[in-house]
Amino acid sequence: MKNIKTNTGVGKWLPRKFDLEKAAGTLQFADDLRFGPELLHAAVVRSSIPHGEILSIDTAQALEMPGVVKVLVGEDFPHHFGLYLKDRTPMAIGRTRYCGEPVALVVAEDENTAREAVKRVRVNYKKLEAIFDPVKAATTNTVLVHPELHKYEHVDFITPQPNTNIGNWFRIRKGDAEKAFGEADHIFEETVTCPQIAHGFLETLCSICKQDPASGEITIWTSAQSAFTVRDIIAKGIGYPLHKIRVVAPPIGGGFGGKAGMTIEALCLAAAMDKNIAGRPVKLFIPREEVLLTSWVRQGFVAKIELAVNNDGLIQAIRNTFWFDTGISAEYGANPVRSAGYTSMGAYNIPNVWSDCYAVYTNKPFGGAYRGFGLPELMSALEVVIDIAADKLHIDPVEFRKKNLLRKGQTTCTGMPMHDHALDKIIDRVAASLKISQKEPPLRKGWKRGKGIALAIKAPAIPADASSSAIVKLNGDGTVEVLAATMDMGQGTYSAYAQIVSEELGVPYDWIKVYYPDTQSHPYDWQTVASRSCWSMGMAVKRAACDVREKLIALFSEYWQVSCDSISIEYGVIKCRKLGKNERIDERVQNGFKMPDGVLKGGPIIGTGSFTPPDIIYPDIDTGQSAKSVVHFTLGAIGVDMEVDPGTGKIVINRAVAGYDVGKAITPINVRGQIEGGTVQGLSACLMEAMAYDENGKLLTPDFTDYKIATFKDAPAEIEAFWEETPEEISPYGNRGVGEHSMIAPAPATNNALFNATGMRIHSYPLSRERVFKALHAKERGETDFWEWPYALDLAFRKAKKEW
Amino acid sequence: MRDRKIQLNLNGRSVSLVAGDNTTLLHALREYGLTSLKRGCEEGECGACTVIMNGLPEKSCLILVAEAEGADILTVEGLIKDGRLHPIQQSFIDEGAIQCGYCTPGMVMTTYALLLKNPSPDEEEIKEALSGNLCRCTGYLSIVRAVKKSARIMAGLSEGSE
Amino acid sequence: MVKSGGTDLIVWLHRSLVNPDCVIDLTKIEQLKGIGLSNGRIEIKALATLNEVASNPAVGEKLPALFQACMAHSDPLIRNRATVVGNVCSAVPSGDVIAPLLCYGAMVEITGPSGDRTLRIGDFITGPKKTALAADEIVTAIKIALPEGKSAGCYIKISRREALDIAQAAVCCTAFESVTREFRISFCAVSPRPVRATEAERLLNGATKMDDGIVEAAAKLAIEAVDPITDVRASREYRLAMIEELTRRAIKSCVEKLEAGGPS
Repeated sequence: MKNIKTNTGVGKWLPRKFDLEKAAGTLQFADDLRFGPELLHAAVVRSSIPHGEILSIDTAQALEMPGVVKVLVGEDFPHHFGLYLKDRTPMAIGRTRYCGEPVALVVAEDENTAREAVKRVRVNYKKLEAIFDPVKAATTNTVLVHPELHKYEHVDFITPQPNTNIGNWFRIRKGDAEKAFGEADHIFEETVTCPQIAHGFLETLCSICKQDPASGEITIWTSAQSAFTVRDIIAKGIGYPLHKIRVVAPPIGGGFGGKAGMTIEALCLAAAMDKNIAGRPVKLFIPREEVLLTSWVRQGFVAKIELAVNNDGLIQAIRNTFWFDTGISAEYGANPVRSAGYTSMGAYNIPNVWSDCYAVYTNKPFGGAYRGFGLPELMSALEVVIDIAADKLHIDPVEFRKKNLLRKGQTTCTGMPMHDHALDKIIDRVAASLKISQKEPPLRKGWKRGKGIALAIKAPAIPADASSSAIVKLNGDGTVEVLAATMDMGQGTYSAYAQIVSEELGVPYDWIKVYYPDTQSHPYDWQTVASRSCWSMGMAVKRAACDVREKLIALFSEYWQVSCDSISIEYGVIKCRKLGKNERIDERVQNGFKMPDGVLKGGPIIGTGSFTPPDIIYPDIDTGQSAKSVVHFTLGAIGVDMEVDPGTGKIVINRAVAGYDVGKAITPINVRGQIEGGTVQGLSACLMEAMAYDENGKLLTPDFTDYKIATFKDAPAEIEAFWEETPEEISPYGNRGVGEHSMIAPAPATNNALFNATGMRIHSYPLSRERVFKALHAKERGETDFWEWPYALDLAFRKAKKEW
Repeated sequence: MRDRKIQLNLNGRSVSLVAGDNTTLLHALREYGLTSLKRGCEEGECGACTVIMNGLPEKSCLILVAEAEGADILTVEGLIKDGRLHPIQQSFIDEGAIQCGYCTPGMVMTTYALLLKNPSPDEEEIKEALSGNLCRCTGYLSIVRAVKKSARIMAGLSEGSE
Repeated sequence: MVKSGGTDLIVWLHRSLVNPDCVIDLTKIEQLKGIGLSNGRIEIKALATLNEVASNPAVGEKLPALFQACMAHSDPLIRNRATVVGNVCSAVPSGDVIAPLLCYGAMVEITGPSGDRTLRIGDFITGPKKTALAADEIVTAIKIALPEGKSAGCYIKISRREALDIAQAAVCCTAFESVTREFRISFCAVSPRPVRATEAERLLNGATKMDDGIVEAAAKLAIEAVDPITDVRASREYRLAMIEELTRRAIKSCVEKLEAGGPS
């Protein structure tokens, strides 16, 4: 039994860990680490064509430059890497598959020389036909991005389709969708598209690798979300034992999924492991204009959704086809597809579900993890389709959603019963706060004002056995050190862990230090992704802190000769009211207690805690059915009050109201931060973000000059952020994740508000000014729906659509 | 390209550094050891390298180091006095205006320059002044709150010192 | 190459778009700094930054379109470094200050080994990133005669987001009132070199009464004056539509200001 007192425990508003160093500018990110004059610098030679055979690579001119140490090519490091599917090599070998793919790596004494030498490497290609459109790539096999797909190793729960461009095909077959569609009173069929988008973290990517030439041991300092997964992927890729690879993850400047899995580490390692280089550290800094060519992007998305609804307004069935454009690699992109698949009923109770979700290879940069992991794309489509159905059935969109809400005990599309949640209460608050059914005059002359709502739902899309562990060390003065290999990339997890330790151990928050991950010192954690850290690692930290408390109290119990339950820890002081004892934690916790029997007992107190989700069952490959497909869902809703200038297509968000059922807010300051930040990131994606290519697959938006993200002046004037706390059963404090969820529904809520304002439905994101203007023009011509294919240059796409 | 010696007044100290002619102030100061300036884009598009040069906020990636000869440069490292954070830094912490922290030094410096010129800015003035500094984490609203709070504290401080 | 603020040049160097043997930095030349005012003319010297120009009282009062263009340019930090003259010398079609300078009849002062010369800004910029400047010449200043009598002006820009962005399209309109009313209209990011909407201006200048019909007709004529491209920032069609819409707004704004009593 816990007997502690603290005023800095779970649920308190406290200053965040490491904010002091961040404000002072002293926190060192990977690019800020110093390695002395031995440090070498690498720069990347990139493919200038989207698909082709590499005939020759002429490195002679580059090697002639003073300061150039080495130029490596793909064959020099022929290892395949991948989290779920090993379809990626750090550099192209024999064949390049996208414009910008690394084909060679220059290593030089300084960064400028490396960059200059890159320009002197000549590569000859034989061009092959390329494919950019995911639907065309999936429905025709004229171009195969990975003819060797059948050879790649992959985990059991994904199903690549050899001799096609499908890297994963996830299916849901629940009930009898065909019958339900046959009998339904109303059928709605809609298509929605989302482009590839970029994470836009402010810190680009940076790795430094070094190999000890004698022992062969490798050290990697890297801007990664998941130190242990980097280590795993590299170990498996190069066939190395884990204990010979050390991954140090300094603080990262934003991740949002873009630094999950492994990004550039193997590419940098290729140089560090070269036999002529080994021993010297090699740094690979990716400049802004190369980030999107080197790291994950959010997958492009094409959704065809059919909804069967009866006259009573109850949804009977949904039939989905999702094409996720995963670019040249599905090693990570295979999984957002699954994530969207097993949430393809949305937040609704739909008895019959048929979903086909594909990760489709194209000759573009690779898609992978991005905040929301398949759900922002899916909800950007589904929540608009729900709105369309409500409108056409003349049912209020809030009422339609509530009527069909997936409530406790009803089953998701995998057959898993939904747990308790407060989504209906959240919807009511959003609707009331925005006066959502009340038409209000625009604040700007000549503009049109509208309001819209959308729901969000997401489960952590993790392997069934994704585990966490933590160590809590009690120092000889009562201060505490926590080793939990979560990356605090701004979401504030270390504050949460410190509050958890304070809650369990009764020591003040300020006494608790949490360290950035290092596989050498920290115990294992799978990844800092999936909004899982406060929950999964939170459980491990809680257990480790309890372990310390129990050990500490057991020692005092023997020392004072009282029962454990008469001892309490209050604000860092050990007390026994019965005996009137009142002692500070001192060096005895380190060096042992002289017990009444004269024996020295104790020694340094270390608490450990581990957690693995106990009861997850992978969905059946053919039907997607599983009684517990995921650990839990976080649900929520966002309402948007916006207005649009019909003359230019410009949208201004007046106000957003967003709430999520987080189970328990461990660190309220972070929950608010995640809701505000995710809402703006979601609005930014909605209004302006898209990766664009020319007809040769060359990225036209590589940097912040043309890849625009929201500025201060694009953010809404006000965001009302709130949360409900319906506790989760298997969870440290009933808490569920919220980091990603705020990003899921701002886009469809805005799109629904645009319809409310103008009567026009836009089926293609982003709702850029130009697109909105064109759509409102089309409205004047009597059209009600508007879309622009993301790959307008690929006319075959339209044809492919007819083949559905 | 040749190296030259540059003399500048960095955070109140006279400092000389050697850098190539085509080196930006950002690179030169980072090489010198001031890693609070971040290379977020190196094209003036993000603001993570903002410094105050001769009283004005500027993006150090758009300045050649030679231009800084003799200049007064203030970076976030220079704001801490006697081990105490500047009220702007403290307000950013208090308001939850920091997440990953990569934009923070630049944000703080732009805020510092704003409050120097305009001690009580309204919301629109704050947004305008900071519109060249990107943040991907916070959604900006908490930063606006922090700037307002800084202004209030600094107004109080200067009243107190009079 | 010659640099003043360098906010374009340093980016071009970073991207290897230019590879000059040497760069001549003007920023330490005192004579090129500042903004002068004499005999009803304002002299914006080569090193005057956008923020300096925007905060100059004469610009704010007499040249509102130039003021607005300066403020629409990039962001407040870059505006502490980027110069008006540099913006003109870069001669990119999306240079914000070029359109108002054209409307205000700015003259470009050039100096070089063969002496000084002065060009109208419309003659100075000869194409995208091309000017009439010889390799051994520099621009020392831009001079503008301040409007006498009542006048109005505005610069309206559309871009992909609210700050720190390149114009998709922008319209500058000025109106000067003496015996007659004279409108001038020019554009940003919609033609390879600066142009005025002479037909639209003629229509407006000849109109006895400024009604919606005239404004509509002028906005339509404005489209005839431009020839935008399609690129990743906007399509030609959108740019044309924005030219029409923003011209309409700009004319109305000027008329309203004149009727409310603009700067005199």
